[in-house]
Amino acid sequence: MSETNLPVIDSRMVVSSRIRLARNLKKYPFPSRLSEEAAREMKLELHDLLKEYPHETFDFLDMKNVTSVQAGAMTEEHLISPDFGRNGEKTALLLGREKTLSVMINEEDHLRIQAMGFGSCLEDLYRRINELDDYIDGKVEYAFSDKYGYLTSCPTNLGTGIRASVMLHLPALTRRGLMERVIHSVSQVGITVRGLYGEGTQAGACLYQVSNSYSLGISESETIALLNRIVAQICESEKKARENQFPDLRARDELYRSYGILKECRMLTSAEFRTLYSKVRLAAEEGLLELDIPALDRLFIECQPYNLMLTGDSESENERDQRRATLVRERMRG
Amino acid sequence: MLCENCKKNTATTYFKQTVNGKTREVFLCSECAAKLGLGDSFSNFGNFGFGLSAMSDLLGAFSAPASAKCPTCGITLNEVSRSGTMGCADCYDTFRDYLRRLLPRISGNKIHNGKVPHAAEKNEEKEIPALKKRLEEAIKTENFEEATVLRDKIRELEAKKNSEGGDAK
Ligand SMILES: [Zn+2]
Ligand SMILES: [Zn+2]
Repeated sequence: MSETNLPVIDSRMVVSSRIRLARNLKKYPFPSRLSEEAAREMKLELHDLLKEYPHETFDFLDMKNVTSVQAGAMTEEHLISPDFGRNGEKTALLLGREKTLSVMINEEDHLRIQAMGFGSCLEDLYRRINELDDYIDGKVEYAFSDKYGYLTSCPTNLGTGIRASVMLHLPALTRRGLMERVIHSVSQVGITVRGLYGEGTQAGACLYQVSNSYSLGISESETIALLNRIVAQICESEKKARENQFPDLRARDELYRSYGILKECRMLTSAEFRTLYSKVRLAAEEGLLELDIPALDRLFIECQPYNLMLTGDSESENERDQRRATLVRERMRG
Repeated sequence: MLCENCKKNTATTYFKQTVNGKTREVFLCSECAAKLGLGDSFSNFGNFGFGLSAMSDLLGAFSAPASAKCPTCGITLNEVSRSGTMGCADCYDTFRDYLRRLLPRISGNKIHNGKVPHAAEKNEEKEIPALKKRLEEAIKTENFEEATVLRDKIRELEAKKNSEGGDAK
């Protein structure tokens, strides 16, 4: 990458990074117009092709054999989109061993190649995903036009077909009601900020996904550079919003109490956990608590409803709240 | 993308209308569409749907009938505008008028810049002449926005060609 003055990102508030590429094979119509028979054929073809990929071993998950609970859990892990599991006759997931590299077959496009990792790592992810894309490109013919780039089902994904995104934890901007302004101002430069888990209020995980809005006329490296620059700016604003907050004992007390609840609770709803997660993560980011932040982020996923259902047959919400509390208590006590 | 009537709400509906031989295209929000008597049929479109269904009866003649079909995959313009998605790679050619109108609202008036698959790479030698041909065509059809973009692309490629020499790709 030719970027000389890379922006410095305050990585404490960066939860994870993701990149996906949208690709279609020239010889088939897009998934919405694809017959189930042709879709099955394509699944096998791509499975065979990716089995031979030298840099990663993929598990092949034909979505028609995946239960709705398993699909829900994969959605919570951001491995698949919600609709993907419901369309099992046509869809399949190729999942790398570390779950950091994956390929969705017949989502909105024939191929959605994805890479994800903890923290701020877009350049690394692009290197990995580009390598896999080169490999597939050597074996199939992609739908492409000089003018529009990679042809995709939805015109918003034309061009490079890249969607790069970074997940940020922004409790102070959220609390001060500044997120709407952030969202508006970055939309002017082609960046979309979306709150996850019903954000916008103080209660919640304060997690936001920052991604490029379009991919036509802007190269892959420009997209990543732009995103890194905006992420650095948003993190800087978050840092400013946090200034002078923690000399205040009351503010610190709130965070320590949250930690206390997580260590001793016996019932914990999904919504309460999200709020407490945010407060405890903030305390760790500010050095008030010594916690393994990546482990906390993994726990966040494990505590989501479908992931809890996966590890036990707790049908009722009450049981789930109880199991969530037990799981969190164990981890927090170390 | 904002509604062209009220310039406040997000446009969810695409209209193409021909009156006295003049073609007019507009993007409207569902409220303004309703005000024009085109309401209910659009209300359940996703935020990226562009409806073009029952209004042909209401608004009169349309130059590109909603029933215009892609010869490869059989999708109609009606379905494309309703779902916001194309049916196959050839739809990009079939529905190019619709796209010419739609794309500037998503990404500005731009053409591809970035990675090229190996199958298309072989044509790179021929790229500049092909672009020049398209530029001529754009000027002929008075599509000046596209012409500007093409001209810049040709300049860029020519500059690259002159400076590159044996650079690794
Ligand atoms: Zn309007
Ligand atoms: Zn088509």
